[in-house]
Amino acid sequence: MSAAVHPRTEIRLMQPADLKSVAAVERAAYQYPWSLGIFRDCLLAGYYCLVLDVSGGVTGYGIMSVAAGEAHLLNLCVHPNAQRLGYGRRLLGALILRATEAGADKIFLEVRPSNRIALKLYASVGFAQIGTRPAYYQAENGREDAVILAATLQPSG
Amino acid sequence: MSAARDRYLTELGIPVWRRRGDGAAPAEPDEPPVPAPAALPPPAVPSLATPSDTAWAELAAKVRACTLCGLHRGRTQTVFGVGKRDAQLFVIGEAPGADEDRQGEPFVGRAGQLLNAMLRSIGLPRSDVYIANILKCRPPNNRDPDPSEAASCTPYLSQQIGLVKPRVVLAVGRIAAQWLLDTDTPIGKLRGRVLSYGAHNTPLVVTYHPAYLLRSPLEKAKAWADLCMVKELLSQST
Repeated sequence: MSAAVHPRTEIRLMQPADLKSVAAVERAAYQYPWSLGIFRDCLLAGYYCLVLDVSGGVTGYGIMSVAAGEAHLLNLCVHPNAQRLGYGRRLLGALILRATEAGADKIFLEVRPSNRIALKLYASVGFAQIGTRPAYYQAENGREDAVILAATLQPSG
Repeated sequence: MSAARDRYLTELGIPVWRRRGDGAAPAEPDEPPVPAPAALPPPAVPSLATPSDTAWAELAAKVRACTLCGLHRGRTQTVFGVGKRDAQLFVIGEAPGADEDRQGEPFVGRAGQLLNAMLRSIGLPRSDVYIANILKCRPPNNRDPDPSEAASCTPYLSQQIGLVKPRVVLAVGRIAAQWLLDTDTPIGKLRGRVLSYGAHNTPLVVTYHPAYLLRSPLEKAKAWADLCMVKELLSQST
């Protein structure tokens, strides 16, 4: 036993060893989950892939690409048994910080209009709707539109 | 308690609690009656000391000798934890109080009596679960644990949970719940749902601390609902 402070929550870079846990959280959270292969491709493509590790377990993650001054948030997910505890907000904060550090001045994302909790989170940190992508998502009864949100980032001082 | 009062309480949807063993059929609220405790697989009988015995002994020795935070100065003894080492349910409280500090066992005062009754209500005798606290030493005047104290102490708890490998974790009280989940969310929003804890996403249920229930008996109905959830989780296969 070391006297080191017990890391309760840690937001760190995703490692290949995390892929199985990440895919498990994805399957628990989404009706139409990404496959493990998609996450592996995101790592290989050099996207910003962060995991939220609470008490030693992968509880959530975020995937973001940054290019040409624009960040695109591709996936932000918290295990259903760990939602509404503020973890999503922490992950989003970490991703926004990295986007800013990488020189992005805008961040975009798509979200299902039925995902009220996510919409509330994004609105609270300054995202605004700039459009929709019709029939973007698979849904139980056909397709669901995507709401496109964007936020302007403050350059890091 | 008069029949009229019982009727009023029933009308108001407030569960009527009775002492067990009064002969009366237990008046249980909305929930269906709790089934008899499921037959647990018989514990393996180790012939000699197993690696796990050694790990427990080493951990207990470390805790007994621990001086990582200032609380060791005021303790009569450490309160390591107690119960079945392969329990299906791991109960986590806050910190030892005066009684616990004196006896070296968690939850032995009035709150402990109530915790025992709560566990019995879902068919779990105290001896069938494992019980430990976030802190192993008593904070002076029962103050809340300081974050640095909890930070240096909880690796012991993590190791205990790792050794017991429970199927369900029950956090009693705000301090235990907020610390385990590393959140500021109030306990009223943490209880009543299934959360997850640690590397294996072990189902975690939060309920009120029995000391709080002694002061606010009307909240017992919610605690009962939480315990029914624990019972339900334990009865699910794997």
